[in-house]
Amino acid sequence: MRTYLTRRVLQLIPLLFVISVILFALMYSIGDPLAIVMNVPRRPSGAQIEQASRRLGFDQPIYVQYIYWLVGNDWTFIDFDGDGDTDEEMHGTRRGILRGDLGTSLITRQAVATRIGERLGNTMLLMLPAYALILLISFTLGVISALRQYSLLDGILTTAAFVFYSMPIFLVALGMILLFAVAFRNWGLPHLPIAGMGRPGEERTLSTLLPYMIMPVLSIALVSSAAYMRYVRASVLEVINHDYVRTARSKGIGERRVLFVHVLRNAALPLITIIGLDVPFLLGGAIVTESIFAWPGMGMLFIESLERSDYPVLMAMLMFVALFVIVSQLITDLLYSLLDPRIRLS
Amino acid sequence: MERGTVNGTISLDDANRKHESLLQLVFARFRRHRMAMIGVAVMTLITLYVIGGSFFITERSSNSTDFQNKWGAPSAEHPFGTDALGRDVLARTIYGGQVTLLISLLAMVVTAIVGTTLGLISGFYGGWIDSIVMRVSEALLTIPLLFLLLVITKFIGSQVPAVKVFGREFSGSVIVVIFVLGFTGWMGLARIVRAQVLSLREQEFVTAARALGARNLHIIFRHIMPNALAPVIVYTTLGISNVILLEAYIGFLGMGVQPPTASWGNMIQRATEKIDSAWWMWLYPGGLILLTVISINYIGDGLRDALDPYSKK
Repeated sequence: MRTYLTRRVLQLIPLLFVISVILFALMYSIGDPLAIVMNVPRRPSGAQIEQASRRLGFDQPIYVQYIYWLVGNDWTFIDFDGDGDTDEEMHGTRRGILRGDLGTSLITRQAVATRIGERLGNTMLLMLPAYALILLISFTLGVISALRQYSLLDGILTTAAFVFYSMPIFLVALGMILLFAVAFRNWGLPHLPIAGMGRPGEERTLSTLLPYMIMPVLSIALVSSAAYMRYVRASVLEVINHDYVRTARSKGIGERRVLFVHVLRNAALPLITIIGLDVPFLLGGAIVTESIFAWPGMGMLFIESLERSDYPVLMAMLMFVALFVIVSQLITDLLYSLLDPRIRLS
Repeated sequence: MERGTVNGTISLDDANRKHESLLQLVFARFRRHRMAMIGVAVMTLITLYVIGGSFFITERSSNSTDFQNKWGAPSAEHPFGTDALGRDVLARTIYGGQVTLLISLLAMVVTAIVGTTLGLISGFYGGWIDSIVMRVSEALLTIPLLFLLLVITKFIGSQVPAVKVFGREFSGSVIVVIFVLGFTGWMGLARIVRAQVLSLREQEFVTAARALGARNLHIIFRHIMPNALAPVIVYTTLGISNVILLEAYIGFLGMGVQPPTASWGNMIQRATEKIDSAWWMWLYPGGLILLTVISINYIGDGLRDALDPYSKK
């Protein structure tokens, strides 16, 4: 087990390296960040732009920039005024991602780690309840649908799942706004706020946040539950016809116990893999949801940074997401072997 | 495709039908899938709508702005209302639909070509080519697709000038979106094809072909590819609906097809500005996207059942 874990962790290193090279090559060419950085009321002179470019290392070839990003540039000198002589040179200040320095945002001059940190919590505020809801909805409806296979209820649930599975998330979100915010207000009913996280200046507590969270959480949950419900149904249907379920029944075990102990436990196994692997990919859905509901999370940060070519932020975010994906793959594998004694990791 | 060659998917029952080609068999099985047939009917109607519509409404009217009539509710003159610049939503769903359907079809063609070729080569030759293809696909699969798409669209961005096809001008972003969507979807397909090839290349008919002196390329494209085609067809069909959704997302975020060229995705972009009144801005394009995606998903389901009856859903 320990050797397996060590080997898996060691395998992450080359993978992360490949990812970072691909991403850096993309970032390098997404546009001139200086064109935006320098876009201040008093237009800077050409010399100032050149100086800034040298300070940020943009004058260096791409592989040098990559090395600076990776291990920092405090071991080298920056030729600040570009005349090639040594007396005005200064030390680099970056320490590189390998030494825990994610860089500095080109726009806000904040440390990237701070910038991501203040948004990550907001995204988790949407993701965690959404995930709990997804598990609840998909398991309940999937099991009901499987137990009543080919009934009217099963037909309705299966069709609804197919529709929501094909649904662009903004359609659910906009529809919900139309109903819960606009129509409810017109009918004089209690209605939900459309966007943001609360009134400005108001102190944020869970109870003030809750109305703002309902619609984004529901849109994410409804669209994602549909896909999982189909899996749950298929998985339960497969298990339910196995001999050991019949044996359990013939031993006189109650229907409820058969369902929860014999059927669900086995049906849930493949689902753990699917759902576990999908966790980070929900972040993709969060981009659209957050931008509809103006929710200041990771998705919004990504869009803002992309629009302004703030590549240190983008780079750090994408690496973070990639790491998140890889780690959840690892956890999923470990969890799977824990729950299914037939699988031994070696 | 010759009879009896597709992955042993022909059952005894099917084989007893007389004088039926594989294609007829597949078609007969497909027709038994009721929802898939409804899907075909709906897709035919949508295609008629976006192509036939252009005979009644000119492209100019889909792009002409009318600032007196911004955010106009549906009326006799504008049955689907007008958008943030006073453009006719009905006309834009027609021309936007053409762009969206064109993008998704062409993007899937690119994906199919790239994915199948890489899968064939990597499965057949193995070795370092296989390692590179698999490592790169692993790395790309690790980043959620929407993030990757947005970064690459931005990267190629507005560098592509507008193009004229059949006297109509398309924003260069249409081409960018086609290629970006096409080149980011190959990983899954390449892996499926590779797995197929790994088992196919060990079979007797490949040995026989090699014994007869066939070259590698001949073996790959004439003997292995036709046998690996069924999952490719299913994957690409279901892929089209996926591409439509992704195009809608990047269009909605303003990074996709650039105005004035309409697409179902970018039509919804400004809908959030007047969310409390202008429901027609998103309901019509959004509804069309939903209908199209559902239909294609059902068609893909039907194709899977028809081509590969033993597959588990």
